[in-house]
Amino acid sequence: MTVPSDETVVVIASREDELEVAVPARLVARVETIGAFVAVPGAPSYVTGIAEVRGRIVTVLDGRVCTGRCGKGEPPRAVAILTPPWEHLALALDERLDRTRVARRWNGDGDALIDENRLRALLAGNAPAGIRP
Amino acid sequence: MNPELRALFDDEAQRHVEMARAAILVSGLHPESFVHALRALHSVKGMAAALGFAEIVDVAHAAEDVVRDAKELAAASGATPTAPLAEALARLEAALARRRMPADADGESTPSAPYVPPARVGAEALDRLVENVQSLAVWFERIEHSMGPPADGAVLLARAEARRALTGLAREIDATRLSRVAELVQPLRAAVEAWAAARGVRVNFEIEGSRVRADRSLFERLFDPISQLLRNAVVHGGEPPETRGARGLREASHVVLSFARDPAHLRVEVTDDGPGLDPAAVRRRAVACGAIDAASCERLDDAASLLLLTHPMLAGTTTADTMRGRGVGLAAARTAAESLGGTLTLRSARGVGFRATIVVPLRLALSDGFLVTSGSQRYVLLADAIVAVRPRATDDTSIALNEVLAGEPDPLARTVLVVERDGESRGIAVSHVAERREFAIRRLGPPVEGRGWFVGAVLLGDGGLALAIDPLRVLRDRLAREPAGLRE
Repeated sequence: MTVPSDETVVVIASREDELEVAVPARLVARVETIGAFVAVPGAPSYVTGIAEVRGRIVTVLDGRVCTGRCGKGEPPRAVAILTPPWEHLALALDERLDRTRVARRWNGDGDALIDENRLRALLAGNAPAGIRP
Repeated sequence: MNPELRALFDDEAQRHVEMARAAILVSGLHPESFVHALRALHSVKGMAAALGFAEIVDVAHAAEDVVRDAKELAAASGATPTAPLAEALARLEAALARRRMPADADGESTPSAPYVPPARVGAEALDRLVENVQSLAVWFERIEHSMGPPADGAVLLARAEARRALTGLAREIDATRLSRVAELVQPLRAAVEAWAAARGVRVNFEIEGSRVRADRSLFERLFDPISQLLRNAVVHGGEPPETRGARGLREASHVVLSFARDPAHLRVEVTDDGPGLDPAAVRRRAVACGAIDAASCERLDDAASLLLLTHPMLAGTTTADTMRGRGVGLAAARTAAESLGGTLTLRSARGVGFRATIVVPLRLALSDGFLVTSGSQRYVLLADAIVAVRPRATDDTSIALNEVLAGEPDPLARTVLVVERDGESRGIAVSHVAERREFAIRRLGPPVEGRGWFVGAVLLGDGGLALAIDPLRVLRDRLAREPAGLRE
């Protein structure tokens, strides 16, 4: 996948030994610290759980699993809440991220970008290989 | 009249006038624009008729005529007669403004008297209030957890009082957001009587399920489509006593407005026992006016054929007076249902009446439930099908909830909630039942909603979260996987 070089993204996961995972900034409504969190038994593997964020309930997705990588398996402390029609979804933010570098121009691997097409495919049950839909 | 309903009418009528203006004066004049404007004006007329605002009914009807004439002129000559349209909307706005003014003893408007609108809090403002209270509860819980148990009795008392106030506030706000059907639909009784009198028919009107509770904003947005469907039922379903007598029916037509709710949806149905509609006749009319080609039309079943009545080329084509819906009423009801993420379905046949059903998803519903602990998590089990709570016996065939949800045995599952379905009963075992009460259940949306057993989630008073489960789904799923003979 080719990603426009001028696309501003919010980086949601990053480790030294793997590629970054990001979401286009235009799909992010805001970044928030979460309140209560519970896992959802039987949910697709890319769903980390549901969380309370300022009195609203959002379904938290693991960006790594969404892009075919291994999940982190821990409740997040902060999330990036998506814009409509996905305002009930949020992407877990990696705690190791340098918060000053979260939003920036994208120069990474397009396969690790969670865009509208990937979200639609996930919600339609067309998860990448290896992911429990 | 309920001042809330008057305020709701004022807001909604103004919104529809603005929609009509946007459709015909801003978006450009093409057939779709005219139909959008007609729907908006028809909604104003329908709501005004339901609430007895006769002047607004007449002015809105006159505006509909102007739009209809303009539509025909535009189709015939390509002319864009915007001035009469603007004048018609201005007259309607003036009538709405007069309605907002208080009337004196003679029923005349007194413009000098200041108008004080009733306090009406919008659903979105209430949503923000709920969110802030819930956020407060979460942070309160975190502060308590960080501080640990206070050594000072005064601090202990202050904390208990603060928690009590917070819990009370949260429940009050939830109660404000939810209302019963009965509170909204009472004015419709008078409207049905007025429509029936104007048509010279007798109508026996029944409301079923009026104790159903759901999100107030949802009811408010359904008021207009329900009015449209009821008016159709009276106007098109109501027949003179002699006609009904000849068909072997009672003199009075029977119109039923019914409400029902499952954990995730509100269902509103308007039924009449009038002459009904022949789906084949609708198909023929749709093909004749070019709304659909004959080959595609042949493939439609009866329900899909009846929905053709809402097509822009069919809606608004029949002769009209102030009572007849011109098919625009059904189109407005469909648009409203779909804007709420729901559906409108129609069923009818010649001689057997007409049924219109709106099903809309619930964002928030108040449901009786049990707050339970299973494994390390809390859940709310809907109480509808739970007939008993008892201790778990040693030779019990109950299903441990944690086994179903997490696939892990739960040795602490010692309390059983007995679920009954179609005469069969089965226990669901949990570690602990904390309380039974009404819970405000919020929708989760995809991908969690609609999967497995979850119908939503509950924000608890202590700042925690619990998934809401339909125990019937658990039971159905489990019984489908095991051999018969294991049931209680």
